Amino acid sequence: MKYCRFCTASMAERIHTRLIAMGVLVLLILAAIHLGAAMTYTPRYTPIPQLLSEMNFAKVRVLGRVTHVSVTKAAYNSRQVRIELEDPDSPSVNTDLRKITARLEGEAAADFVNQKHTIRKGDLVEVAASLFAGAGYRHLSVSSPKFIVVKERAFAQAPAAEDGEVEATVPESGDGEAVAPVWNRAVR
Amino acid sequence: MEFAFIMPCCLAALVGVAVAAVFSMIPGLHIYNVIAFTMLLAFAAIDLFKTLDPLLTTCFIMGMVVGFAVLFTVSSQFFQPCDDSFRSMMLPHERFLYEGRGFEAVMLGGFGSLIALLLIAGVFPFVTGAIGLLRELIRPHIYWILGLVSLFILISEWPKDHGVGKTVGQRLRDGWGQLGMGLFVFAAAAVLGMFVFYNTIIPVQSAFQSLMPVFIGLFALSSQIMTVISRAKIPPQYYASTVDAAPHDIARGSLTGVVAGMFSSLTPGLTPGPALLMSAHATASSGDKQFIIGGGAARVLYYIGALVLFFMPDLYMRRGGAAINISLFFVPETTEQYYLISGIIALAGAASMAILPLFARMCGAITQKVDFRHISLGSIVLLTAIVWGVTGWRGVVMMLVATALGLVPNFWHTRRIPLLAVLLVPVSLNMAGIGSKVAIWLGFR
Repeated sequence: MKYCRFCTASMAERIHTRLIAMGVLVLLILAAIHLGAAMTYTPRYTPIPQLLSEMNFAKVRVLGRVTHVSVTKAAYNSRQVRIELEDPDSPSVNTDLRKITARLEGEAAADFVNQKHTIRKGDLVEVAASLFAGAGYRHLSVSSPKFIVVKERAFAQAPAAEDGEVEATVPESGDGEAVAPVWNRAVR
Repeated sequence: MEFAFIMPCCLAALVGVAVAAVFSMIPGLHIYNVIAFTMLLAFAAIDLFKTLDPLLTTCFIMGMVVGFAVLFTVSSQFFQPCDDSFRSMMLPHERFLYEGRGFEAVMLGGFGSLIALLLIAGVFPFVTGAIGLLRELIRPHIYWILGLVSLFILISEWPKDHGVGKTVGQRLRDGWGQLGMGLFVFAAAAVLGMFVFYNTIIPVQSAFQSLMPVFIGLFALSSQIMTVISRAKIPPQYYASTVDAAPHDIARGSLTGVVAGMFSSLTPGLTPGPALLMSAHATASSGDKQFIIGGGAARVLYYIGALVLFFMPDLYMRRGGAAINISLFFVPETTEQYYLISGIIALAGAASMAILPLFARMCGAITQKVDFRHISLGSIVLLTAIVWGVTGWRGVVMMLVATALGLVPNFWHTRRIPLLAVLLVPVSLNMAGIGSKVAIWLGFR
């Protein structure tokens, strides 16, 4: 075995740094695969009746039909959005279990109102959210309105929100009573 | 997720790598400091920041973390030579630097980093469930695991110098001088950590960065000060296209680093340094080369692996400064986001690994043209400015206290690892549920 007389490094058993260049190539291939997967990913939905306390805090993807939308004014002029969803595929299940509420609060609710989401009763929506389920409560917490995607419209003619309408129709309400802006009232 | 959205994300990540490469030139600067500064700027221009998609900013930070994890040790390796008049031991990469093989040390670390990146991008997506299970298994036991890590640090202080004094008293003083200061540093760092956790003087608006001044003082500023007063001389460096390593060195070094990286990324309060020390014992790795390779792998898994846990569909575990800062404005929700982040890691990793040899050559060339003491002096000014900017004068006071403690190991020829008690002890006590009682006993509550 030949060794360097200065630093005792082996001069026979050495590894070429071009291995790093090959590694870079593999990383680029992996990047393409992952980004491709992000573009083509098909989500697996959890049926609403299966969203039970055993899954508390789980991040879930749910497909449900909108039965009601409400926006309330809470403390400090903040908004609370409640979207009631019903499982579209399990008519035989107990009615309570077939329904769940998706909640948006704070900034997410403000964004929802400002972006004037056109979610209407009867729409089939996909919701990505965290489940909060325990004794006496069961709801989905949505962190941003972009995680609510309309997959199928109930009907095309329903009026969509126009600029200024939402703010104009959400009355001052100090007691947290639920009120619906015009774009929901139209379909209630 | 649409192609039109993914492309800007990739671009943001590559910009992040470029920013990390610039900041990696400054020895002692930590990426979490840069992220903290970025967040400060973001909050200052909140109206502009809010118009950006949070995932775009996340990709930018991800690029910075990846770039930094791969590149940041290069400047430390070249610009911080060991002055053995005040250091208790010379680390392997420091020996390589003195032999003119600094570039080779960087490349060895690069092999470790590359294997860790391949693991994160190629294997992690298939084992998210297993990592989630591992985390659930570890979670109830973290307090005593951290307790054992502390014990390992304390026990490994022995044996030390038995002294060369003529009398028993002189030899006893020689022996316990170094050893005692190691134990003192551990105790003092633990008390400082309890203070920071329970009664910090950092203003409330900067509370999310309350640990930053302490860490900069203990580790960054103290080592920069020692570099400024160092009398070491860096020899000319050689740049070879091959490195002195056998395949088994890469395999064993990487295994050690992977164990250390996974251990530190899943255990709150644990950094890759002590984790690597323990995993090297556990996996019986040996030699300078395996140590350097293991260090490269452990660092990448600690910084990037821990951050990717935040996006994992079966885990969503917030671990480390980068994840804490990202969670201020972004909450991961979907599997697509995880795939995007994995792709961004692979892309940013490829870019970082591609520039690593050039970056090392540039740092090596700088050592022959610029006095490394001037670089460290500049680093001291910059670090102080960042602490002042983010946490105000109170943060600077905390930093100075921590710096004084950080200098103790250098002046008493003991190890710096007991300084980690600043994190290990409070986290361990808090997880055991007695942190508050100990804080009251210490008068911090």
